[in-house]
Amino acid sequence: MPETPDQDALRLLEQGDPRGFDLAYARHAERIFGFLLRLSGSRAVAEDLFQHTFMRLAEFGARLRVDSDLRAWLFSVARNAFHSQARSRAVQARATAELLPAALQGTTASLDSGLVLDELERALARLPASDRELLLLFGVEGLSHADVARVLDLDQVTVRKRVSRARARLAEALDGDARAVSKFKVSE
Amino acid sequence: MTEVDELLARLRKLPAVALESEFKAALQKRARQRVQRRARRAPFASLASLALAVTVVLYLGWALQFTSALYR
Repeated sequence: MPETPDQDALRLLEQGDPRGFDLAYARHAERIFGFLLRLSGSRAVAEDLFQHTFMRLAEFGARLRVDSDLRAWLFSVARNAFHSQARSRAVQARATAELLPAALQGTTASLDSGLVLDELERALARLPASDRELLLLFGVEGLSHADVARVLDLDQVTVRKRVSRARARLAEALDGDARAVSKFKVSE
Repeated sequence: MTEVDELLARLRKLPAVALESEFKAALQKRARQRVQRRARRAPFASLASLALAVTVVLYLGWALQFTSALYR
């Protein structure tokens, strides 16, 4: 069976070949950075955590099994780095709605509907970090329940329940925004 | 499609976030150096582990021989 690009990357890293790092970096850098930026709400913090994550890959990538799930491993390292930094430096774990849209300037893909996505980013930013990380991993990054469970070190049943709760809270937050906007328009 | 699925679809559409190219390139350079340094160190590390294991076995053998000589 042919190897996936991630398996190629891990095999090269196992052999001490830096092209393995290049391959992994090209495939996952932007997704990991987006995850960290949306999770932390600060570009500076996200850059620190991003460096930490990929330097860990350079340091320990050779020890990973070739059939490891590299994407889940990277999200797991990034997420753990975020939580340990939030604890040690008392970084505000919850991104503020004012901070995030500025931090997200410079997105690569064109926004198909700037206003709608901006609302969504704001609603996401207002959720607790525990809900946000679930929705980022499952919703934004498209990880399966099993992969999310691996990243968060939880069982799949718990992940399903928490994702469902987090989705409900996001929907509530969006409804709240919509009501606020319509109220504003009426009072205008 | 349910409301919840629509919400997930909207989340899925959130764009990737661009990294500053200088930052990205500088990190890549440092990480490549780290990978190469580790690869150079690896053979020495395994030789050192082997030498340590041999030393421990030799020492334990000597200690056993010494102890048994005391009770002879």
